[in-house]
Amino acid sequence: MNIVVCVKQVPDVDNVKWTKENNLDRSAMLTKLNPHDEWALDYAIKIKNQFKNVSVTALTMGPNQAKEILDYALAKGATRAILLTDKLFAGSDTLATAKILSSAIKKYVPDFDLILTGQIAQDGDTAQTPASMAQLLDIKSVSNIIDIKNADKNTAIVAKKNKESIDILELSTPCLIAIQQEMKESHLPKIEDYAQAQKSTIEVYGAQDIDLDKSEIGILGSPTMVYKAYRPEVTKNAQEIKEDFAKEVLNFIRSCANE
Amino acid sequence: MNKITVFCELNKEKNALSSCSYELITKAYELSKQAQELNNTEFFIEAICCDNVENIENKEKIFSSGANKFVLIENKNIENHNFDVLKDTFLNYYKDNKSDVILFPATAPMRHCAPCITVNLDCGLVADCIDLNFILKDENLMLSATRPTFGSELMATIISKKLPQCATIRPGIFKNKTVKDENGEFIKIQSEIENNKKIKLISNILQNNNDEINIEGAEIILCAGYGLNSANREYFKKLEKIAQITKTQIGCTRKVVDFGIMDSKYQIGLTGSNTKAQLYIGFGVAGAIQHMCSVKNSKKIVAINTDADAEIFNYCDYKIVGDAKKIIDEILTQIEQ
Repeated sequence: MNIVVCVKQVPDVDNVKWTKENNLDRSAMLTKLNPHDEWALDYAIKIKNQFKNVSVTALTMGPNQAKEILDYALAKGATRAILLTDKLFAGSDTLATAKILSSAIKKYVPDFDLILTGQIAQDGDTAQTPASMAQLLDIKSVSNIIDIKNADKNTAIVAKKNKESIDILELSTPCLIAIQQEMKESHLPKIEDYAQAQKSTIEVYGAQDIDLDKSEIGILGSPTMVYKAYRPEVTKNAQEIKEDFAKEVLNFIRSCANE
Repeated sequence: MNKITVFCELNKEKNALSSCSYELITKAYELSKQAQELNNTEFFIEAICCDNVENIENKEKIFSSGANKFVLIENKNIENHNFDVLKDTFLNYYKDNKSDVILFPATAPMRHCAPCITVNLDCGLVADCIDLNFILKDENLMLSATRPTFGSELMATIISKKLPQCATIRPGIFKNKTVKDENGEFIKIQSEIENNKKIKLISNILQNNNDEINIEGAEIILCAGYGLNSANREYFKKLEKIAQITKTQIGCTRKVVDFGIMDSKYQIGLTGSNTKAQLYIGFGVAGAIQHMCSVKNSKKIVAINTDADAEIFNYCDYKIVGDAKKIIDEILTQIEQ
């Protein structure tokens, strides 16, 4: 059984740093493995531990620095790691990213049974890449998955969270599953796991290795572009209430309720 | 002809379009007015709903909200848990009915379904937008879609170089209005399209939702922030009590959910619900941007925080620098009298 887990290195959005000019200071921010992707990886490792001959390929696109999260994925138990890195990939939007990732999967893991991804990436939060990849690979996909009940070479049974209910769904493989919730039995790698991981080498591929035209990747291949980015502006001038707080708050509620 | 397509969702209980669908139809109408002012371009507004449904209620409202035409495509093969049939049903209609702009509701199902559609059109898609405008760029009319990114620390305005220009739009951001009369063209299409990508629904488990929660439709919101925290967490219960007595809706911030104090269904913010209440009162709410993005459409915002420099004071209409816990106690004493 072959599982691909798509992972992304993201800046820590809870510790955003700004330059004097009010721009994001990316160099000052710590990076980490996107949490949702780590949950997807945890499920893949869990499946690996249940069966014989399961391979788990961690796949990422990013700068050379993204090797850090692949090392981490290997230490957690991934059996193979692929980094897609090239200046030509830079500026890819969700469509171009989905094309790059799905092309790499077609070429380097053609016999995959399952693709696991996080539901969202913390930095972009578009949640569009997984479904887009599934379309390009012509496989079925499900998202908002809170549990993988069972998965083997032929079938996956998953729990999907809806607004007011949970669906238990059965999918035949190959399929893509986007994970929304943390797996309870997750564990951190130990030092010996990192030592073991060093024995695996990270495969590195660039734009010339995948079968896509330059017009389909990076800025050229991205139909969307950022027109402007800005820090939300503060607009209001609040009136301060200085006394009788409780009474004033109640007055607000009562007068609004009577309107 | 210039056209804006609104991809509508069904509210199954009411057998009518979902509230977000009406919001987007009105927004499409307003965009058309904007285009007229910018360079005298007129847009035709087409609303489309594809579902396993014979007919729907209240079609007049679709037209009075701004649509020129409403297309209902019935396909018995469409299932809630599998978007491939829905996608193919829409694409089959779309190939002969192309558009310049497609707007989708950014509900959880549509955030999965919309990219399935746009990938097949090889066009862009801007996710989870909170503002839409037409702009003139090199004399071309372009849709500019604004969305929070980086955990909502940053706002990005995004344009699409290719047609159709597509976006998913967060529910509860735009207001549905009556903008014209109830006349419009209605067509019904029967579709038999199938898809071999079957996903089997084994069971559907309803979750316990005994208490009524309606953040998005509430007139008055009392929002609990992490500033109410104390050893026994009594102030969250007290605020709930006030909400019960005053018949208002309680909500909370992400941090309150993250610490397991309240359920995520009460959460207001980027990953929770939006509110456009007449009155929002934040009790010990710090005012993180991801929260305030979802609050700022409220008509009147009142904030209580001990920290005079709290971020929320930059967004509110009335500020109280004080201890929200004490104020909660005082309110309880006053309403119980």
